Amino acid sequence: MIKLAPAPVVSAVAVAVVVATLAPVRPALADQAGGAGSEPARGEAPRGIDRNFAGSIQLDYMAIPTDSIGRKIALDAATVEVSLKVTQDFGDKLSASVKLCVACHGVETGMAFFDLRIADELSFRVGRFTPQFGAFPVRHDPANHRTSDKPLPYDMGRMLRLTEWNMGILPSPWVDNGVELSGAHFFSEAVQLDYAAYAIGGPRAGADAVDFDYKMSRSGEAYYTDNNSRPSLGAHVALNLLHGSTTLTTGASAMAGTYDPDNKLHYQVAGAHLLLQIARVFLRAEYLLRRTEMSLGPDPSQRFKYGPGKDGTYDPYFLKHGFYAELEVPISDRVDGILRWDGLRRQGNVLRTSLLRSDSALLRYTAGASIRIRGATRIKLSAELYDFSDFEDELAVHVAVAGAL
Amino acid sequence: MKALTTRHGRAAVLAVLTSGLATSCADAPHGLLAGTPAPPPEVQQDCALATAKCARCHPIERVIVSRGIGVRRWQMYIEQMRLKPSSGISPSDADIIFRCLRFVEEACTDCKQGRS
Repeated sequence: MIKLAPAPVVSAVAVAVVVATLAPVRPALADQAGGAGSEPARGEAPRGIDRNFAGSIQLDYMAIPTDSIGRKIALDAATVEVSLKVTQDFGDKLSASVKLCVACHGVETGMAFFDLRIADELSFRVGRFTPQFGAFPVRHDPANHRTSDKPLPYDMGRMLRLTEWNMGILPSPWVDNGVELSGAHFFSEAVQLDYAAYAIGGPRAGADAVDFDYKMSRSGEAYYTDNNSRPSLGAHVALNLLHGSTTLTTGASAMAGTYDPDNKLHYQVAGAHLLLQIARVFLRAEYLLRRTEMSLGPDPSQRFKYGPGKDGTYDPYFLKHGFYAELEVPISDRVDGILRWDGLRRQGNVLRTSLLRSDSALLRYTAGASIRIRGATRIKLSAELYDFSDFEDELAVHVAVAGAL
Repeated sequence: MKALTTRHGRAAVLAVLTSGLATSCADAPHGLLAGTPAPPPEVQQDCALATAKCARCHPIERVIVSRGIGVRRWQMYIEQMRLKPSSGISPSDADIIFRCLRFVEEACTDCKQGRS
């Protein structure tokens, strides 16, 4: 259905646009992916030059005091995340955005899309983007959230035991090629309803897979194209109740499709979220659930750790649950405190080589602080206690510097 | 145990160094209205709402360091932010946020990006 340019082409175009744009760039507040430019431009900007540059940087150091060599269970030590974004507005209705990211994967195209807004209630996004799912992804940029890493359901490689758990439910930012239809309607000043529906390439894996292969989902070796010629479909809806500086938001998301080249292995992801904001105090909670079909192979008894069920057949599905609850409280003008409780649970058969069991769980307790030091630069401190059902408990400590350009 | 203690000690030293860095580099506390002479009470109310609405998705510093970009650009950005998913910014909220930022643009003569 959706045939977009292969990622090398998209990346080349993205690089060209960024390079061509940097010289005449005019500074401005970036959207949630970036910050401000370098030189002030007071007064009215000339019409027709609505091109904006934004970016963010985070350098994070993760230490694992409970393990002598943390690298065996995590990507510890220093990691850097950089994003550079350019947006060009073509009048009030059409804009184009390109965002390059540098992190553990090297240079990636995090955004390369056109936005066409017909009305508040109807917008189209076409290109490479993060589809709307849940509440956290809109804040995924390290300059926009207070902790060094992401909640476990959205973890992208910073959790301990990431290999054994194959990360979270839906790593953020989930970037894919496709088209998205979205909009918002205010029924009154106090009630806002958002929706989105999209078709994207979807997660990928090889033949005979038992879970998503995230490297394949983002690897240039697979040309960033859909691996099974079938899009994944998703939708999102959120209701916002507004009263001054107080907001209550609740929403639900879903995505489904197949992830193997033969278009046989199905998956479904569902999520719900709740956000309560009272002035600068935030209480956030999300729950995600993914049901994933595994290839049983010609001889499941040789492949899986556990035998068939009472009916004599092997259950080809596993369930992966994820949640987080987070409280963000301002402690002073420049310091915010964060308390977070998150976790994962996996239920279902596992490969013989897996260190997990048929029902494994992980709970994590995080306490942290985000300290503004100068301009839009912050230091983030956090300590995380991991409570594994299948491994020794661990402690991780993060120190990071993050800021917007 | 000794190794664990040493590692904890290193973490403590790192935390102390980081705190020292934060303290030594810190600039004066400020908000959207910093540097503006005698903002009227209604503008202070507007900016309090603006701070709460903007902080929903990103730290307010991202707005503060962008002061000085001009009224028309603020109008454009506020509209873009209003249309973000679950922005929580109603059309009248957008007007209030704009009033705040227009005042800042007009009253703050020393608001330069990256310096405020």
